[in-house]
Amino acid sequence: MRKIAFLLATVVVVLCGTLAIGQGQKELVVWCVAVHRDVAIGAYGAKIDVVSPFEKEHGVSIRWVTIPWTGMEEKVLRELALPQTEADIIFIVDDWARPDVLSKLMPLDDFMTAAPIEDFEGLAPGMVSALIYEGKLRGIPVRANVQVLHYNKAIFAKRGIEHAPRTFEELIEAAKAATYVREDGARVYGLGLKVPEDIIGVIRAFGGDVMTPDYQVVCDSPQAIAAIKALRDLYNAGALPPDFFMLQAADYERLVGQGLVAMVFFGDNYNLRFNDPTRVSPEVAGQMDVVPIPASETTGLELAPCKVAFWAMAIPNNAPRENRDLAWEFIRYLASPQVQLSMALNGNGPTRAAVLADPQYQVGVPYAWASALAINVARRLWPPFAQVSQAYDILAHEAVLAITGQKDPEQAMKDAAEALRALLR
Amino acid sequence: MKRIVRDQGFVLVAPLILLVLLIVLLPQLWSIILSFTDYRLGAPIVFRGLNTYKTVLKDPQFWNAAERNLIFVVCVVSLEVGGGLLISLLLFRGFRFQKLWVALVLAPYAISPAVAAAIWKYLLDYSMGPVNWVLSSIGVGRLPWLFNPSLALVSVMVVYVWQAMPFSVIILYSALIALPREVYEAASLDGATSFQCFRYVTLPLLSPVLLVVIIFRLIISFRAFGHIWALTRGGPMFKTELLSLYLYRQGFRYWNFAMASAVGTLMLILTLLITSYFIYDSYKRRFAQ
Repeated sequence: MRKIAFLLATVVVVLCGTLAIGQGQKELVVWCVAVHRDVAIGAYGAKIDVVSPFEKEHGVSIRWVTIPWTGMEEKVLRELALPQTEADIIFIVDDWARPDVLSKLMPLDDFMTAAPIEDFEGLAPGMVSALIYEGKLRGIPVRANVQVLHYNKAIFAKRGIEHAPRTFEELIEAAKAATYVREDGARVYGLGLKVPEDIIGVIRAFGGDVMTPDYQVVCDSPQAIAAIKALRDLYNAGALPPDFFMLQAADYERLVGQGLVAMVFFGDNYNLRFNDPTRVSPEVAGQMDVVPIPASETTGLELAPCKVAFWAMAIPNNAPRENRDLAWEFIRYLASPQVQLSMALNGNGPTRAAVLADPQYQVGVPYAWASALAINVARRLWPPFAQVSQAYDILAHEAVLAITGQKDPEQAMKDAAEALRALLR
Repeated sequence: MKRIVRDQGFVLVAPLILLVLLIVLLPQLWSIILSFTDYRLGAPIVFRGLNTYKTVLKDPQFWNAAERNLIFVVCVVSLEVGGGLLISLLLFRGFRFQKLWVALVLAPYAISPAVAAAIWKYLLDYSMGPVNWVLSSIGVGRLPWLFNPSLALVSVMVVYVWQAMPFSVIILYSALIALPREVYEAASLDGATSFQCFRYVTLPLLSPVLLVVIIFRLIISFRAFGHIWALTRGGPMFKTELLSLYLYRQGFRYWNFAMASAVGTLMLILTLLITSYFIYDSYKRRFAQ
């Protein structure tokens, strides 16, 4: 009995002590996926810990709550609907930057007025504008990946393609030329096409779009139809995998890694994976290079307005009131040019063109030059609206019917436009 | 004394009933309540009466999925039960290495559905799959098993039947072993042929078990999801999308939980209607006897 009493007393003393210590230090709770924490604390890359100096300066402890990516949207949506959340800061991805989510995030304009972010204009304007809801800024972009064209130099050399495509017409010709049957009997496809995001990318390369930032549905424009026709020609020429519409990003990673696809549109940071000898075949490792996605000659543009995927930090409306200023301070700190550079050296995709062009960054990151060019024209695939997943499905359905020859391209794009307009109504 | 025993019985069964209430009935009830709202994840719950049901029933994709679901259920249950009966009859005759054959037939059932689907996805792969390699070698050429709009549903059914058929075999084979031998001896003395034995002895004696197998397979195949999700995700162009995948799309892609709940409730009603017919039929026969 005495022993039990002693044990209980010890537990109570330890708990009280822990609580007392805990109450002595402020805590900021940050909801994110693991990579956001890792690039901030310097888990890899240049291993620069940018969090500890902030913690010391402000006498605060950052508690990272890492959530698996697959379940994060559901968890965030549920949490934002509660009367109060424990999260002082949450990370949101660009696809969630839609009214039902943005409306549940605090407007940051007053914080900006009181304590502005250093060189705010240096943050990619396309990303910042996507985070504006009802005229107010709801998040600050801190991590980005722009889409670039990854191509296999060895396949290009073997098929007599002299240089990376400089126009989309050259890209189409290169895709056709790079389509062949290897000595081992395996078929190599010129271009991988993820549905529907890459279709939107190709439409943009032809000067068109699916939905403009002011919600005009324009996927039935002559430019969009020309893009779909070009893709149909590629499909008929066998330059796209016959099951391209069933393939996920992971499938394309595998095909690229085995040297079975010559070109793909992927985020810039995939260049490291595609060249990693532990992930891809020895014939592919070191052979994957990047260029910004070129635009069609007909547009008069040099580069296509490619997709950018980005993460922003935001303060939920239902976040603890007492920590909001400190939460803003942390966001402001991570978005600052110097911290962005440090995180970029740790492996983060920066949201500032200046960081992409920084000599320190360019030394360690071979695709930096292409990213720096692409980020200037990059924008997200859709303007924010609640039914964006339905919009994806509508476009994918009609575009695939047209590309695979099951529907006339004009009719397919007209039907897609009608369905998208109905969705917006 | 009897009353005490009865009361004790209730007390003993109560935790189980409570558990069923908590983990089956309450979520089901909540789902039915949600189906009368316009609830989207993260949004406030507003009651809309039957509006969600109207939206579901007006959606052509729902009806396409329902039609496909019907075709799927009829085909797979027929093949599973018919094939299962045939295999169990063959096994009942007895072979050399009988245990090995039984184990081989039952093996697919031991594999997890996700693993089975992954194996078949590889086998049926257009570019690198062994099935197409064999077909190419014999001059047939490669077939788009999983991405041709006409062929994809058939491929999915084949994989589903391959894995589910052992269930029918287990039940029917066990039932066959347990059938009384005297009846067969009597039929044989009366000069019945093998087919007549099957038609007039085996089938009537097996019918209660067959009915149970059919009901089980109807319920399970009606809500088939895992295999199809892993093989095609409902594609190409929704051609393999059944009601369960349609429900998933509404709930976990569009976050429209009201629609998903309405579809779930409709599926429950349909399943109850179909199975209650079989259960009613079985009771009718029992009382007729």
